[in-house]
Amino acid sequence: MANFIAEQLSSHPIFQGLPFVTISDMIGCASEKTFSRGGTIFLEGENANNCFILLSGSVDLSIHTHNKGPIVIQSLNGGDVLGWSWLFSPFIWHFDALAKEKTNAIQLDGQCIRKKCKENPELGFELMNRFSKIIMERLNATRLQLVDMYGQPG
Amino acid sequence: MDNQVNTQGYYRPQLPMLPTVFRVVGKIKETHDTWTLELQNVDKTPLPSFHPGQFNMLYASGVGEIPISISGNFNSQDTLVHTIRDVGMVSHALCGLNTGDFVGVRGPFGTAWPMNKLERKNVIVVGGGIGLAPLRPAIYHLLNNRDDFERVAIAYGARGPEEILYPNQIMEWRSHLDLMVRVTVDAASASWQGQVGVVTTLIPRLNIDPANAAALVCGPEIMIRFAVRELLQFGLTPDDIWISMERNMKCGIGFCGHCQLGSKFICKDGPVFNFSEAEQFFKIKEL
Amino acid sequence: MELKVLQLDQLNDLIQVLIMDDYQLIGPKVKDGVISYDSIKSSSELPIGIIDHQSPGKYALQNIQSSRFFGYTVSPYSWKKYLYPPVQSLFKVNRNGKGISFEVTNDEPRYAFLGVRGCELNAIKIQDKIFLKGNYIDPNYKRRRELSMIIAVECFNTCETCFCDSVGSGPEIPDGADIVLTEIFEDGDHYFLARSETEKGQDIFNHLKLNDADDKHVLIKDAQLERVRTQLKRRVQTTGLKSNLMANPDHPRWDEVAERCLACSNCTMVCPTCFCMTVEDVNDLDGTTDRQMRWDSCFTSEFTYIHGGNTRESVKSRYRQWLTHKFASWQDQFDSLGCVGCGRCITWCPPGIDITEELEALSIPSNQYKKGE
Repeated sequence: MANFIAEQLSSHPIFQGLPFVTISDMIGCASEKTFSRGGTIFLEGENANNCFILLSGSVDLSIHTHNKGPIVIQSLNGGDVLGWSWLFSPFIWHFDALAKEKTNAIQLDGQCIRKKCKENPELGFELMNRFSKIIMERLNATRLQLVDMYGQPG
Repeated sequence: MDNQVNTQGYYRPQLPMLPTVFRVVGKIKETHDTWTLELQNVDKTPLPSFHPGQFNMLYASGVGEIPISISGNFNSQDTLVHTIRDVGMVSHALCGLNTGDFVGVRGPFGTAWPMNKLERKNVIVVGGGIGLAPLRPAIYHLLNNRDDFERVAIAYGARGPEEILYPNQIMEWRSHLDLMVRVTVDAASASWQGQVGVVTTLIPRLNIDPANAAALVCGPEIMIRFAVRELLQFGLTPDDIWISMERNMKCGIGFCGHCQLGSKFICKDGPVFNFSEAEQFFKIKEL
Repeated sequence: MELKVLQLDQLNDLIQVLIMDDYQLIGPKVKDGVISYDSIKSSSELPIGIIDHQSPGKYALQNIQSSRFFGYTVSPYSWKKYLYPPVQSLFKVNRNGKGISFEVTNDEPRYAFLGVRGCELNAIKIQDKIFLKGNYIDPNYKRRRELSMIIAVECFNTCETCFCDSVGSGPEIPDGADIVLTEIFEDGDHYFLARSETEKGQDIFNHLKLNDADDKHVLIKDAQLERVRTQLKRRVQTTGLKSNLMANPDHPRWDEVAERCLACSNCTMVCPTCFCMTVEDVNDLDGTTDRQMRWDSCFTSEFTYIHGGNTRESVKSRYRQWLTHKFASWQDQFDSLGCVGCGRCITWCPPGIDITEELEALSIPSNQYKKGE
């Protein structure tokens, strides 16, 4: 079990190149999770206690609107990381996350990881660095959505 | 029209500004603002052959003329296919044409997707919005000559599910086992079963070896810039990437001056450029 | 061919021979306060005794009470007006019953251009490259060009705005004229030296009884040309010009010149090499449409209009397009400069922007450039 998690974590793009000792440091905070199709992973406003390392499947991040129902703003797939609100105070989810199909993930306990990071600044730096890169990529994608490049001209 | 084609097979008419009369023989509504017109030469003479990526000047008489890329199968001997988005005065007039109406056609003009340079390579086709239209003849070529190419992927992005161009055809492409088809939209309601996110996010997830890959990119200019950046990050070199540019054009033959970008005329030096050549266009604002 | 002497009264003979030969003679004459290239029937219509004063944003004619025919430098109009007219009909659209057809009507103008200057002949040769030497041929330009006859006249004067020499376009007449004339006013003698350079020119000469010129005439002619050359004060430094312009799209000078530039497009209209055009439909109430080609300018905002906006919105970008095209990208496209040094764009610029001054300022490295230099 722990071996499976260690294997999955070290082969996941986000942890690529991390020394095995650093990864094994996180194993105590990790558990396997499976979400069935349509299953809720988290909802806007809930406490953000976890991070999900997606192994397979697909997750929609959406925002609920009063007049148009949920609007999907991003799909995440196996190989992606779901959630970074657990890293930053006030640790609240900003969107809804629902499994679009059966999705396997490794769940990292946010509190546990934050504690490990405090004890092991090297791990803290690596995680911050890697999550910042994801945030940057998502921000760039969001900006591209924002310019509405296919939109009606004029 | 045979005497109007020079030795390289390119269209060189005696009267390059004089259109030929075509009749609309088919009209398909693609999205809320985009139509595909099928055109046939009124006097039934064979069409000049075209290469994927080239364009025609379409003339709505009494209104004006605009460049529209050819979006049909280049093997067709008698029917020209153009997909037009209703965004301006002339495109509005063209989209308003019905079966039986007449349109003036000049062309084909411009450079083509370098299909023979892609042989024995992995090919990534990146399209955004109506940018799929100029890529479609290239996709036909890839499918018709599938054995000449290694892995082939199509990454397509649109604003929303209802704005996806050629949805039925994309479904059909998906059924090809030797073709990777990835479609994403910028935003969607929950009823959309597909991917949400900008088209650039599809690129790093393509199961393709970038070392032997080439890419054809067409879409809004912003999308081209970001898609190219992503392709470079993915491992392609500028020499591996071709893009199709768009500018105001009044003639298509390098006389009117409108489409100049630096030393290039988009109409005759393009619209398809290798990125190593086109890179300069994006370095200077308002070039 | 040999240099001949064309006596003063033979100038009108030359004009009459051309008219008899079915040429429509176009030459300089005073019209609306400027030298205009217009239809001429006799040598008496030429601007006798008239010289022009041109400086940035200024133009004036002066009668110096001389019998000289070609004392001015260049007209605001160029020969482009005839070879590449401001408005040309491309075809007419006929809608008959259920059909539509496009009908081409060709005019067959047979022009003889009298008084083409060295810079102007170079400008014609530049337009030849655009319309005749590429993959596509402009059939209307080709026909006009083939039918026309060029009678070049060497400059006797320069204006403050002239800089042909420094861009390699004058004052000498390049190849390409059918006849070259030099007006000589020496020790009270007033006559022309004439040389036919083509068969077409020789055919005209055959109708005139011209005496051979001698070595003395050659010396006089050469000396006159050299005197004109030394009068040229304005210069463009062409060495390194292209690479410098291409490398400096954000030079602070562009912002400065954009503040002065009105984007009025006068410079492009008077430029003898500018070729940009647009195509428009002119619809008649009778149901026909005339599809017309019209001069256009890269200074207009809608020039780069593309669904939803213009790709060159700022005046800075439009001025930069024009100047870099003339002196840099033109070299890549047509293997020459797009400027012949005629100075028209300087004279006819309302705020008097002087391209030679702009080019000089742009040659100062950005980081050493001080505003207003």
